Amino acid sequence: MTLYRGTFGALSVFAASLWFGLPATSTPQDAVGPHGATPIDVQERRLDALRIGDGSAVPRGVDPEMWKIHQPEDNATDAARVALGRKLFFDARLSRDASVSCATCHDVARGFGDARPASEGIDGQVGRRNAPPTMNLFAVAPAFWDGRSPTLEHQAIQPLINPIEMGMPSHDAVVAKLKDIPDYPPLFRAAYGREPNIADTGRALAAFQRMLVFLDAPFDRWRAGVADALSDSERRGFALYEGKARCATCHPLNASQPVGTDNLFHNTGVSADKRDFEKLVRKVLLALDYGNSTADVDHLALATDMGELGRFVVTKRRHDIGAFRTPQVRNVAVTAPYMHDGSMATLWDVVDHYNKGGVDNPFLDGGIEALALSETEIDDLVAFLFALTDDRLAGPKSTARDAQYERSRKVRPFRDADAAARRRSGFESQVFGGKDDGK
Amino acid sequence: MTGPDSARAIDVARVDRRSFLRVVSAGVVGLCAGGTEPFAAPAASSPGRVDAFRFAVIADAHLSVDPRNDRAEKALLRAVAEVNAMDPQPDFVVFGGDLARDGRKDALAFGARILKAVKAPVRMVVGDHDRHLDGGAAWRGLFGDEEYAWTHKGVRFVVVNGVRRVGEATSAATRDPAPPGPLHADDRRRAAFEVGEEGRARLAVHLAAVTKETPVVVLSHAPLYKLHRGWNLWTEDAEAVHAILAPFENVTVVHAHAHQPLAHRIGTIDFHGMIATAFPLPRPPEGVPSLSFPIDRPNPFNPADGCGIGWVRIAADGTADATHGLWNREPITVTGRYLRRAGTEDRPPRARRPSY
Amino acid sequence: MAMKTYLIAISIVVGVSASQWPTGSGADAETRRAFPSIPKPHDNRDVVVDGNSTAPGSYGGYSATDVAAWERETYKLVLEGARVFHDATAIGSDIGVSCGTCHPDGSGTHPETYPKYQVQIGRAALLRDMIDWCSRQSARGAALGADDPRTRALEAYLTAQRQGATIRYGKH
Repeated sequence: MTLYRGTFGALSVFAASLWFGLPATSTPQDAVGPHGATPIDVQERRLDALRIGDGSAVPRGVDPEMWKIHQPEDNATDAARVALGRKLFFDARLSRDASVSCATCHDVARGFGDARPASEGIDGQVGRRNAPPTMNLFAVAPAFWDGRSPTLEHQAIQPLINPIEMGMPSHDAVVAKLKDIPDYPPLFRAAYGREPNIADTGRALAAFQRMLVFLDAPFDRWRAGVADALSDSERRGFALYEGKARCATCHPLNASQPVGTDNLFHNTGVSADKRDFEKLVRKVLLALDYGNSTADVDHLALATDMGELGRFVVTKRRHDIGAFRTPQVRNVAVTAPYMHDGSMATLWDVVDHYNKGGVDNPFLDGGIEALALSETEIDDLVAFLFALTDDRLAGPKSTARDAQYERSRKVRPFRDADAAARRRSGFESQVFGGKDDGK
Repeated sequence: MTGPDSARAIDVARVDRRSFLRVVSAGVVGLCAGGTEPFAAPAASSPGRVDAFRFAVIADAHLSVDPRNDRAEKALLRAVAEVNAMDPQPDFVVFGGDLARDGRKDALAFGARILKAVKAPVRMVVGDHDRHLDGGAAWRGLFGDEEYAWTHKGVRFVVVNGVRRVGEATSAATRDPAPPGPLHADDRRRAAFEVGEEGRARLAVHLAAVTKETPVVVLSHAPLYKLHRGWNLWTEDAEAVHAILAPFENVTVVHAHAHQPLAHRIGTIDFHGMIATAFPLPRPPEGVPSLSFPIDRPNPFNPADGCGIGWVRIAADGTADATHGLWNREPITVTGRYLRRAGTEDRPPRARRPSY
Repeated sequence: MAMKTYLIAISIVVGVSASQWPTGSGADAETRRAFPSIPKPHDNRDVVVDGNSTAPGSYGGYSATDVAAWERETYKLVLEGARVFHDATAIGSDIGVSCGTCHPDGSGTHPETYPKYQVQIGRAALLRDMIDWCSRQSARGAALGADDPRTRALEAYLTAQRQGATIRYGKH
C-alpha cells in the first residue's frame, strides 16, 4: 500500500503539474509508458492490489437488486467475460500503432483517468474531452459526456476507430487483429461461445468495467452508522450537499443510486464564456447535414469546437445546447481535472463555479443558481467531496487533497463573490452591454 | 477554412449550396431563443393581405425590489437576452402584464429599465399585480394609456385592460378592491375581472377603424373568458366582449396571467395563453378548455422550468400560431389550425407527467 | 433580516413549548374568512351517542360537545396551515415568496402521493421533507424541521385540501 500510494500520488501530481503548473512535490518513480501513461505492467499490478471482483458475485457496495437491473440482458457479468474484458482493456495492440490501449487514458494509477484536461491518442493527437474515470460505470448510462452511446457496450468500441484515439481504420480491422492474436479466440469462445467479433469485444470491455466498483468510502461507513467516520467539517459538507448547495438533485447519493449522477444532461455554462454557441450551432447543423453517422458525431465531439455544444450534437434539440452529462461524484478526489473539458483543476474551482450560479447563457439550466456559500461552507463541502473516496484510494486522495488545497489558497480562477452572493446576474452585462450603472 | 475545425469532413466550404439551403429552409439559422421557428421572409405586400410576421411575448415577470427577488429579475433579464438574440428579430415585443409583483412604483421602474434594453419596439399590457396598489397610476405614469390600438402589416392590434375589478369604475371604495396582503391567496374574496363598460366601448372604437375581414389580435393580461373563478382566471363580462369581436372573421386573443400554456376557441375567436418568466402555476382544478393541453409538470429544482418566452407568428391568412419557448425544454407550438380544426390536427405533444 | 431573526427566535420558543398545538388567538377566524374554500374536517356527528344509552364516563361514548371540539381543534390546525401557506414572512422567505405563490389552494402538492422518491432531494421523502425543501430552496426561507409547528400546520392544510383524494403513495 505504501508503494502504491507513493507512486500514484507522485504520478498524478506530476501529470497535473504539466497542465496547471502545480508544483511537483516529487518526481515520478516509475518509468512512463507511451503517451505519458503508466506502463501497463505497473497498472496491472496496481489493479491486482485493488482486489476487484472477478465477476462471479455482486460487487461490494452495490445493492443486489439494483445490480440485477443494471445487468444487460445479453451481457450478464461472469468471470470469463470479465477476464476477456480485462485483457482487452490493457491491450495496446488494438490501436493502429500499438501505442494506445483503454488504459492509456483510463490509467489505473491515475484514478482510471489520465489527469489531463483532454486525452492524448495516437500520434500524440489531443482531443477536446476529459477522460471520465472508468469506475462505477455499472450505474452510468448513456455513455460519453454527450451521451452519444446508449450503453457501455456501445461506448467501449468507439475509441477503437476514432482517428485521434486508437485510430483503427474500422471495426472489421479490429476483429481481424483479434483473430490473429492466438490468445483471443479461445477467450471469446469461453466468454460468448463465438469467434471474436466487435459486439462481443464491447460486451467484454463493459463486463470488465462494471466490476470496477469503488463504493467503500468514509461516507458509506458514516451512513451505515459509524458516527465518527466523517469529521465535523465533512458532516457539515454533506448537509450542504443535500441542502443549501443543491448538489443532491443532480448528484443523488442513496443506496439505490450510489454513484451520484442523475444520468441527465445539463448546461451549467462551463464553456459558455469561451464560445459563441450560436455560431457553433449553425456550423454543427451544416456539418451534421453533411454526415451524421456515429463516427461523424464522434469526430465532431472530440476533434472540433462544435463538441462544446455537448448533448446538442447528438439530439439537435435546442435545449440541449451546451449540456453535458452529470458526472458521478464518487472518488472525485482522485479524478482531477474536472468538467467535460478538464478546465477546472481543483474541487474548490468546481464549487466556485456552482456557487456563482454557473455562467449565464441562454441555455443555462435554470436549476443552476447562485448559492451564496461562504468560504467556510466551500471548505466543508470540498471536505465532504473528498470523503467520497474509496478507502483503497486513500493514499492518492491525501496527496491530491494537499495539492488541491495548496493551489486553492493561491488561485481561485472561478470565484465570483458578487455573483455568488446574488448581487449581480451574468445576464445583466448581456442585456445592458456592461454599461449599466447598477440599481 | 483552416484550423482544427476543418480537420476532417466537416469543412463548411465543402457543403454544397443545396444542403445549405435545406438547412436554412428548415429554419435552423439563428438557434437562440425563437430562432428555430420556421419563418418566411415577408412576401411582397399586396392590398388586403397580411404580410406574415412574428412578434415575441414576455409576460408575468413579477419583479420585486423589497424584498429583492433576484430570481424573478434574472428570469426577465434572460427573457430580454433571448428576445434580443432572436434572428430574425421579431417585429415587436409584447409585454403581457404583471411586470411587478405588488405594483410598487420602484419595482415597475426597475422593470421598465430592463425592458428598455429590448431591441425591438415594446408594447405594454397592464396586469392585475401592476395595478394592485394604486389602480395602475404608477404604471400609466411609466407606460402611458392602458388601452390602445395600432395596425401592423394588415393586422389590427388592440390592447385591452382585462384586469379591472367588477364595480371599480362606479365605486371609489372598490377602486382598490384587492386589499394589500398576500397575493395568490384564494381570490374568490376579491371582485372578478372585467373589461368593463368603458373598456368595451374603447375596444369597439378601436375596431371600428378596420373592416370585418381585417385580422384582429387582442392583447390582454387576463384570458377574456371564464375559466376558474377561484384563481380569477375569469372575465365577468366575457360574453359582452365576445359579442364585440364576433363580427370579425379572424380574431386571436393573446393573454397571460395563467403562467402556463392555454388554448381555447370560442366562436370565431382563438385564445392563446402564454407562459410566464417568473414561475409556473399548476393546472386550475376546473374550467380548463378542452383544447388546452397539459405540459409535463415543472421540476421546482429549476425555478425557470415551465417558464420562458413566447412568440406568435401571424400567417398571410391572418391566423396566429403561438409558440411557448419553454426554458430547458422543447418549444411547443399551438397553431391556429389546431384551434380551428377542433384539435384534430397539429396536436401538441402529449404530457407524460401532467399536473393533477 | 431583523424580521427573519425574530421569526427564527419565535419558532425556537414555540418549538420547545407548544409545538403540538396551533396558537388560538382568533387568527383562525380571519383566516377562515380569507380562505372560504377550505373544506371542513369530516363530519363526525354520527358518532355522538344518545345520553340515555351509554353512561357518561365509559369508553365508546362521546357527546356532541366532544365532537364539536374535535372539529374545532382540527380545523384550527388546518386554518393555521392556510395562514402560514400564504405568508412569505411566516416561512422567512428572503425573496417574498410564499407557498401559495406557486400552489394556489395547495394545488400541485399531491399530499396523497407520499411517501415517494423526490428527485429534488435525491431520496424517498415524506411530505414534510418536501415542505422543508420547498421552504429552503423554492422560497429561500427557513429550514422547517419535522416538528416545526409551521411544518405540522402546512401538512394539515395540504392534506385538508385533498379531502377525498385516493392515497397513491409513490405516484409521480
